[in-house]
Amino acid sequence: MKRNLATASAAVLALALVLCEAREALAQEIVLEGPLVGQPAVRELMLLRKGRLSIAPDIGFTLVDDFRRNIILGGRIEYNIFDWISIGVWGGYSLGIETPLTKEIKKKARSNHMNLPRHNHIGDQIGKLNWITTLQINVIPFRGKMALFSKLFLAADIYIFFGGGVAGVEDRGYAADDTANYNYLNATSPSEQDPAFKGTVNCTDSDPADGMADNFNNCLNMKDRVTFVPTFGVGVTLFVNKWMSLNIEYRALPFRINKPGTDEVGMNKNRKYYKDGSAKDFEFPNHVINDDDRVWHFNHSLQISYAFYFNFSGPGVFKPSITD
Amino acid sequence: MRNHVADRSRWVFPGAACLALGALLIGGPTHAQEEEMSFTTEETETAPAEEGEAAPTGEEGTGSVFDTTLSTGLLEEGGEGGEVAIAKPTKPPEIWAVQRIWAKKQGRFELFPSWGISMNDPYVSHQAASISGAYYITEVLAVGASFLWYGKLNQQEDLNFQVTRSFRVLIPINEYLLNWNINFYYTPLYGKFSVFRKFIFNWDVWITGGIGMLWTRPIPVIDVEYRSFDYGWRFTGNIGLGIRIFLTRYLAIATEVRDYMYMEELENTSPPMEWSEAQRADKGNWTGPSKFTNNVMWHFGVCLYFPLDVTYKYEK
Repeated sequence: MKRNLATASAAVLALALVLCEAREALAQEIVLEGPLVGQPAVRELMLLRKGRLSIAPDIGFTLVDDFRRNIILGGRIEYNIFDWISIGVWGGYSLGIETPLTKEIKKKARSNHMNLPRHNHIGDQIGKLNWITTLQINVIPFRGKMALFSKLFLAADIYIFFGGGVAGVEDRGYAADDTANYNYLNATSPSEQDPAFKGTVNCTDSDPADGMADNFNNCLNMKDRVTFVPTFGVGVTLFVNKWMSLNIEYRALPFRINKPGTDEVGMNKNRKYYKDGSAKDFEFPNHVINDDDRVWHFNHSLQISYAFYFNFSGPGVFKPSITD
Repeated sequence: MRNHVADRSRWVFPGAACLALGALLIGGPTHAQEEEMSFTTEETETAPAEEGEAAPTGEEGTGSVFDTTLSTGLLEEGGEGGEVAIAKPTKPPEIWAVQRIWAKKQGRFELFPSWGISMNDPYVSHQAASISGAYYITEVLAVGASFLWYGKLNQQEDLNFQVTRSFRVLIPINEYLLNWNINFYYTPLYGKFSVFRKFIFNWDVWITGGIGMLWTRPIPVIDVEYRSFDYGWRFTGNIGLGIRIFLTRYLAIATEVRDYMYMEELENTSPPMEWSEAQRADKGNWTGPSKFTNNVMWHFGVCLYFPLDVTYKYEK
């Protein structure tokens, strides 16, 4: 099979190479005379950004989501200092949609004590991004124009941005089960005791057969918090006219969160508890859910916005300036 | 040269082909762009007429660019000897010329080696070394083939292990071996960018689609003691979108997102605890119903064009 495939691939490649030898690229020659000869690379460029304020409502979707897809409704305000740099604020509120995996767990899983106190309530325990706002700097190195089907011509630019801000995140707070208490009490020495265990057990299970925690809300213990979030990305702006544009951008929002709301970090394979060092070396459950179980996620997202540009001064509110 | 005089009246919406985009672009076509950026000297690649030498006139009586220029009064007779001097335009020209495409593709072969990463499988990361070739029949239309080698590049993610451990839910997962496709390419969008108004790069966007075969197999997670799967081929259809930025006339950096769609054979997730030894060993019990699957791959690499140089054919 592999031999046949290789033969077929080679034949296709050879045919293509033969074809490319058979013809030459064709084009028309343009002889240009007149005042454009000797002019700089770009002249009479319409400065669609410089000195203008832009306001853009936008909608965003997180990508490659495992437990919850965030739909971020928000907006962006920017002041374009020059045509190649701007500073702005972006933010939004997040709505959540369960992913197929979450639905699958809800349908098929059995309750599993602290990690899944109620299987049909998994939506309550997964980590959530509720809101976010960032301050960001945009650098616009690429400015140009494009043609669609050789008929529709648009000004466009490509920008990169970076910045940081804060986000409202909700995920599980402290939770511990009876096993954590047992391990703590039966440690051979104080140095062998789990420092993550705070002496209280809020995920008791008097009927282990059903797997459900006795007090669901007490065990769940969801906590709201505000965390720092860096952000960066790249986007493309398509100017619809002199004062409106459609923007499409990729945005990364890396921050720590306990997405599944489970106990994933705490002990290594030698049953040593996580005190410091890399959490990646302690990927065994210690029967305590705490900060250690919040791990870094890159949080990719795609944003689509529609911007309106306004002048503070110059020829008019909507009219951009032009270079010489 | 007459066909170089563009008709401004043709710069309108092309009708049905642009309806979808037009609905978005409620501001209408940007007439502003027609005059906001001029052609570069590099694109013209034409030296100005030397002193004392008349400028070329193109074909006789054909309404060439030069004729148009004359008719608009932009050229004036100079001093003795009838020298022609170029005067500063007193009014905006209609259209000076149609720029020629810098990196021609018609009649050239494109080679696109790339690295691909799967984007939508949270359980197994599929990476692939890929190469595709295409022959451009016209400037915007090409046919070609692509080959992806996944081999040992499949990598299980932590999520799969964590879901199994914490939720006790088994997720059937698969790995890939190789994939080949026959594709067409269409380039509806092209343009150029200036970088900080110093350098100019040409770029274009292509859409692609095709059919092919993908070799996959399940990774056993249910009854690993008995199950061991062989690779089998699946028929695939694919669609994609890519962008390339030309660095030279024969080299471009490029990236592409392509969705490979196929029916995946999945492991049977029914618990085999109560099965007999014979049932567990029966290969017919190892797999369950197939499932329609999207394998979205992000490729990035470089495009090479052969022949390396572009030959422009002049009109008689």
